[in-house]
Amino acid sequence: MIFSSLEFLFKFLPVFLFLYFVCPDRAKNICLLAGSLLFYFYGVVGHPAYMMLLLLSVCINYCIGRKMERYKSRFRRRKWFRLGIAYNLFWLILFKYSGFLIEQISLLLQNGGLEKAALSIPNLALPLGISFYTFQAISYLADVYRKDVAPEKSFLDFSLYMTMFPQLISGPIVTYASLRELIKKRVHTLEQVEVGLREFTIGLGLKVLLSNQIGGLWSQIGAVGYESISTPLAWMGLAAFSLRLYFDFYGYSLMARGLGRMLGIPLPDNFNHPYMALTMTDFWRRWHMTLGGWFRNYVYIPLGGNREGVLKTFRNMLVVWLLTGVWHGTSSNFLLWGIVLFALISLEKLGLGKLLERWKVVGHVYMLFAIPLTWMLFAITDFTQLGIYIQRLFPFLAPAGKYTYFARDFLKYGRIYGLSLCAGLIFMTGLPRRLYDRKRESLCTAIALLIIFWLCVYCMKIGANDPFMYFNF
Amino acid sequence: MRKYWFTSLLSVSLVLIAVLHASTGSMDQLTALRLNLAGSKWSHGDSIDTTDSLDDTNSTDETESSDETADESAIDGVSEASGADTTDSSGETADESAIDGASEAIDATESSSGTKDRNAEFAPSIMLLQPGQRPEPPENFEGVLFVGDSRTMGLSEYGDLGNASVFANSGMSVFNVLTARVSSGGEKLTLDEVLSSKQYQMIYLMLGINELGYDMSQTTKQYEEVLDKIKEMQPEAIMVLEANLHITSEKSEKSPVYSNSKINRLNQEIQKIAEENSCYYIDVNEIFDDDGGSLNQAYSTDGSHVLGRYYAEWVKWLKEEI
Repeated sequence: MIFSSLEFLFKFLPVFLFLYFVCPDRAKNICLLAGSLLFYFYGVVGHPAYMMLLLLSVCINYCIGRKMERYKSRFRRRKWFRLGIAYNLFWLILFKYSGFLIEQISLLLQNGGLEKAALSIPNLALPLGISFYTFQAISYLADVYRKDVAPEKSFLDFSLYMTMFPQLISGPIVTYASLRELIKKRVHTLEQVEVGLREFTIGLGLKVLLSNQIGGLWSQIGAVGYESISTPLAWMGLAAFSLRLYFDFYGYSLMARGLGRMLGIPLPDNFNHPYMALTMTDFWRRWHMTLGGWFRNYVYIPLGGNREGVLKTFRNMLVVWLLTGVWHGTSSNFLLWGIVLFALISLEKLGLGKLLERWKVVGHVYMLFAIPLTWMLFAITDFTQLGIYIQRLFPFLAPAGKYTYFARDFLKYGRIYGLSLCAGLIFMTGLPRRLYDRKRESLCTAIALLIIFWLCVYCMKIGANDPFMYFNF
Repeated sequence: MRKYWFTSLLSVSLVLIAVLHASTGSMDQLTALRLNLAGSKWSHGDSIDTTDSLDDTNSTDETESSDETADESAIDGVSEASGADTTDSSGETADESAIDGASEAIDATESSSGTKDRNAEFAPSIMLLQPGQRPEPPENFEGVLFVGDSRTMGLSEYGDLGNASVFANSGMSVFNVLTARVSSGGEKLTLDEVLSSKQYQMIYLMLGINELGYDMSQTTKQYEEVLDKIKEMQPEAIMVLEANLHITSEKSEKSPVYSNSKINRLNQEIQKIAEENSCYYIDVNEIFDDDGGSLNQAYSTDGSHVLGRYYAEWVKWLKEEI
C-alpha cells in the first residue's frame, strides 16, 4: 500500500487517524503499532514470511540491545554487537545481493574453465522496506554499543521505532535517539494535523502530478529503444528521468513527514533542493540526507573519517560510495555509479569544489551535466544499452549513420512533455517553497492545496498503478 | 479557524463527496465510464505494469490526457481523439495536443501522375493471393495512405515510409477516426479531407487495439462502416486491412481487456471483413510473434509497441523484402 494510492488515502488513513485520535494517550502507541503492522501486512500480502521477518528483526534487535546493556566488558558487548550486525546484514544480503553474487561467481567459474558451473539463481522478491529498516536497526545497535543511547527497555517503544508506518518502507532513516522522547511522550494538536496534511498534500502533488507525468517521457524512450532516439531527445530523456526520480522520492518523503507530523512525530527532512547544488559533494548533503547521514555516522566516521591522513580519507570515501552504490541496486551499473560519484567528489575535494563554489555559474553548469549523467548510470542497468545511450547523447562518439532515428522526435515529445518538464525545473528550485511559506496563512493557499489534493485523487482514480520507484530498495 | 483552513476545507470536501457518493452512487458509474474510456486509449507510452520499478510509470501520461477529455467523453459517450500521449496539464486541450503530437504523421505528398496506369498494375487480385502473401506496395510508397493508431505512428516515425501519407495518432480508433483531425504543416485535416485530397493507389488500415475495451460486435460494425466510408471515397484504391499487432505474453496476462486472445478474435473478424469486401488482409505478427503467439519480449519494452528499430523491419516486410 503506497501513500499515493486510493486504498491508503480513503481506507487506511481515515480509519487509522480516527482510531488514533479517539484513543486515550497511553493507548496511542499500541494503536500506532497495530496500524503499522497492518500497513506492512497489507504491503507484503502474498509473502507472509516477510511479515515474520520484520517481527523477528524487531525481536532480535530488541534482545541484542538488552544483552549489550547487561555486559560491562567491552569484549562481551562487542560480541553481541557483531552478532546483531551480522544478523541484520545476513537478510539484506540474502535478499538483495544473492542473485547478483551467484551470477558473478558462476561467471567467474565459467571463465575459469568450468563450463558447467552455471549455478541456479534464486529469484527472491525483496521484502518491502528491508533496506530501510535494516539500516535503522544497525544504527540502533551501533548507538547502543557506543553508549550514545541507552537500550530501550520497552518492547512496544522499540517496535514502534522499527515499524512506524510513515517511515517503515522508504525512510527517512532515523536514529533511535531522535525518536525516543517522541515515542515516549508527545503532544497532539490540531495545528500539527493541519501542517501534516499540508505537507502530505504537497508531497502527493509532487509525486502524482509532477513525477508521474514527467516519468512518462522516460518510459516512452524505453519503448522506442535507445538506438532510435535523436540526440536532443536523449538529453530530454535524462532530464525527465532526473526530475522524475527527484519528485518521486521527494514527494514520498514529504508525505512521510506529513504523516509523522499529524501523529505528533516530526521526522527529519530528506531533501534540500539538491538540484540547486553547486558541487556533487553539496548535492549529496542535500539529497536523501538521512541516508548520507547514516553512511557518515556508521561507516565513514567509524572507519576514521578524514582524521587519519589523506590516503585513508580517500579509502573511506571509496568505501562509502561503493556501499551507497550497492545499497541502491544490485546490478553492476550501481557499482559503476558509486565509483563515478567517488571520482567526482574526490576531484572536488582536491580543489575543484572550491572553484565551483566561487564561480556559481560554473558550478551550476557543471552540475547541469553531472546530475543527469550520473543518474544515467543509475537508470540504465545494461551496459550495452548504456553504451548506446551514451552514443546517442554524444553522437560524435559513434560512426556516422550507425543509428537511424526519427529526427524530429524531440519536437513531438517536447510538445507533449514540455510543460511538465518546465514545471519540474521550476519546482526543483526553492522558489515555490518560499512563495508557499510567505502565503501559508491565506485562504487561497488552502484552496490551491485542496485542488491539488482532488486532482491527485482524480489522477489516481483513472490512472493505472504506478509503484513508487524507490520501493525496491 | 484561520490556522486550520486546509483541514477544514479538506474535511468539508470529504464529507461532501461522501454524501454525494452515498446518495447517488453516480460517482462510481461516472468513474467506471471514465476508466473504460481511459483504458480504451492506447498510446505509445501506454501503461505497462512492469515489475521493474525503475522502468515504470508511463501509464501516467494517459492519466492527464484523460483527465482533460474524460469529462467531455463521458458526456458525449464518444471517446475523443485525444492522444493518450498528451501530458500537458494546462493550456491546450488534450484533443489538440494529441493531434499536434501527430503532426509529423502526415506527409502530404503530391500524387503521382498517371494514377490510373499504376492502378492497373496493382489491381486487386485477392483471389490469387495465398495466405501469408502480401500485396506489393508501389515504389517508395508513392500514392499510399496509412490509416491507424500509435503503431502506425511508429511505422511512420521509425520506418521509412517514403512518400506515403499517414493519417494516424495515438489513441486512434474506429470510433474516432472519422472525426479526428490530424495536422499536416499547421493544417488540421479530417480523414474525409485527406481522402478527398487525391486519388490513392493503396490504403493500409490498421485499427482495433484501442477498441478492445468496447463490445466486439460494436467494434466490428463500426470497423465496417469506416471501411465502407474509405472505399466509397477511394473506390480505386487497393485496400489492405492489417491485423493488429499482438502484445507480449507478460502484458497479455495482466489485463483482462488487452489480451492476445481478444486481439486474435478481433483479427479474425477483420479477416472476415476483408474477405467479404475483397480487401487484402495481412498479418505482421508472423515476424514478431514468439512461439506462444505473443509479441516477442525481445522486440518490445512496453509490451505493446515494437522498439523503434523493428518498425524498419516491419516496413521491409510490407515491401516483401523479408
